Amino acid sequence: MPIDAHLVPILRAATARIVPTDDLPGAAELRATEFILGFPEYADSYNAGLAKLPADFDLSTPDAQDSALSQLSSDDPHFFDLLRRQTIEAVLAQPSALWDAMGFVVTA
Amino acid sequence: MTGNVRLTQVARRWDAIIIGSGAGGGVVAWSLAFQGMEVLVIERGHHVPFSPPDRDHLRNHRLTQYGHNVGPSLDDRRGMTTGDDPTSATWHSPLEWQYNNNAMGVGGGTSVYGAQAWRFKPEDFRMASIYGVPEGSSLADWPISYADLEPHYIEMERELGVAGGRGGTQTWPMPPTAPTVKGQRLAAAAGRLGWDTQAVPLAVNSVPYNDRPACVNCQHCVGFACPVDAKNGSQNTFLPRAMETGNVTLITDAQVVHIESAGEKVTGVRVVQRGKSMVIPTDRVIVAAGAIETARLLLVSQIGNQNDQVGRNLQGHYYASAAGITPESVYDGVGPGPSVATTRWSHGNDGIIGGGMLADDFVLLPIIYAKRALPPHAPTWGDEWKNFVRDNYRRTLQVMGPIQDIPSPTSRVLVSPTETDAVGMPRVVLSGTAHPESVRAQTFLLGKAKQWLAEAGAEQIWGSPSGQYLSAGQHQAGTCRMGEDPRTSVVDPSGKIHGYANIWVADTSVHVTNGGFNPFLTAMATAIRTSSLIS
Repeated sequence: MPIDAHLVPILRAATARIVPTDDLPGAAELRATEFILGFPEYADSYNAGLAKLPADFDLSTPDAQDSALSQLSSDDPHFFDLLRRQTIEAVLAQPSALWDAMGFVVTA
Repeated sequence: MTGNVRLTQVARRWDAIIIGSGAGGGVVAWSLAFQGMEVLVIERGHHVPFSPPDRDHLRNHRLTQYGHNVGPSLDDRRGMTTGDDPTSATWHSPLEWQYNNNAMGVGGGTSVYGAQAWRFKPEDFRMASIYGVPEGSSLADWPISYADLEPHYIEMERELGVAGGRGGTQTWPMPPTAPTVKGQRLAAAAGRLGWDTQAVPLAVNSVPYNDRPACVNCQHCVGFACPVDAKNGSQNTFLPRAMETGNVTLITDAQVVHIESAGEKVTGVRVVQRGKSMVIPTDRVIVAAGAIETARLLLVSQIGNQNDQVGRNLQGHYYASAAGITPESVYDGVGPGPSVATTRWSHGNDGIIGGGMLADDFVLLPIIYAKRALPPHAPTWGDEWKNFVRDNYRRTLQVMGPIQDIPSPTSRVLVSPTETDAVGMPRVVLSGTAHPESVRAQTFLLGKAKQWLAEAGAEQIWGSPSGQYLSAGQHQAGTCRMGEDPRTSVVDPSGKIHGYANIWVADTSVHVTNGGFNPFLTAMATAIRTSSLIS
């Protein structure tokens, strides 16, 4: 079972707050949602966990989204950690301008 | 090296069969080939490509988040329990590093290791004599001394190729690998503290050596195959040299599931390759499958376990690991990374049994930094996390090192009576936990790591002792301990299994204690010594 299509916009919005975009790419540009969709074994966890965010989460303001994610991290720390962990993996395990800004340069 | 040998092509009688092509197996193949024996090396894994480089940051032997690059298949589950009953096990993925970081491929772990090529210290072979035997432990002296192994260490350093320059009383065949900003800063700090330091000896070509090029100082050393083949392991030294004699055949993707025996003699091994099974006869067997797989195979084959010793004394390495943040960048990205170490705290520590070595770390991949090297107070998500990561990656200084694990007879490898793997071989169940003295030594060494970081100018320093857990996630050793007395050991001082005429163990399984150092060079030195005693 994949992640429900109606939850994908919420996933996209949530990952974009976990690693926001500023002068450097964030979860959106680095395709964290697509990375997470590549793990069908976690889809049940995502379906259950994302359903705990407000139904209009993806349409809310960034501040309201951050409040909802903080609430989720205390209500369901296990799921929040999965979401956080995979978002960060998507962002940092591939070459990007974020690597450049950190100073990690692959020379060979 | 060819990798497409099939079972039917090796169906003949061999002078010797070697099970496993890692640190021990390659060395033994090389030695026996030059003694003129016809040798078959059987490897469960396959060849590891080093070009084009495999650079998946989430599937490698440094971070096994979703897979290994050189490792057991994801369905190769491990049982974990605490007592002697394997049916009470819970089952775990091989990706859980705490339980099993086994490599599986030609060269074993040496194709992707960090290659820290330490000799054990003379005291490491005499732990029980120096410290006594703590309650609940099976701490013992080795039946051989450092002096017995020293010529073999020297031979292995030369034949494998180790870079280390000069340090203490040693001189290595190659100068040290490149110094780093972190290493120079830590060396200066150690000097102010009055601690001796040395370059970290690495089985990496600091200059061209053995017809292969020098290290290009890339950032993907530990956990990955080398992109220019400058990291020295079984797969590019002993194995190919053994095969060049024409006396050695390597068969890959083939698993030994049973050793056949009659009385005190082994007669052959049963091998499974791509669904086909065959018994291959041999005059000698050398088991070099690593401390967990070697014990498993002997238990399944009911060889050497007359006194219930096979699989006991399983030990890996507890690590002391501390980090701090420096006011300015200490990052230069020059790999491999470990460039300075101190063995000042290996022994002679009041109230502590043993101790350990401390060194700086490999170049940290960004995702490993985010998972393992952020301070406890760091933000965990959002803009604050992102700013923290970009501002502090280059200012993070880490020091770490393995301690002398104190062995326990209750830390052990068992086999399941009910669960089998894909080829029908009983699965491994690991049992036990670390001895409390290991935790004490780790806590002690952690204090020294923090002291070093503080002297080096780190301003926020963190690192906690581990809880008590089975120390078997890396550097596994001890499960077929060497000794004079068959009641308390599995192999005799030559490496031959007690009570048998023609089977030897040549890997870290025979280590009585595992040193406060990365153990592969000691495994190689012990294996080449054993090879010289095989007749």
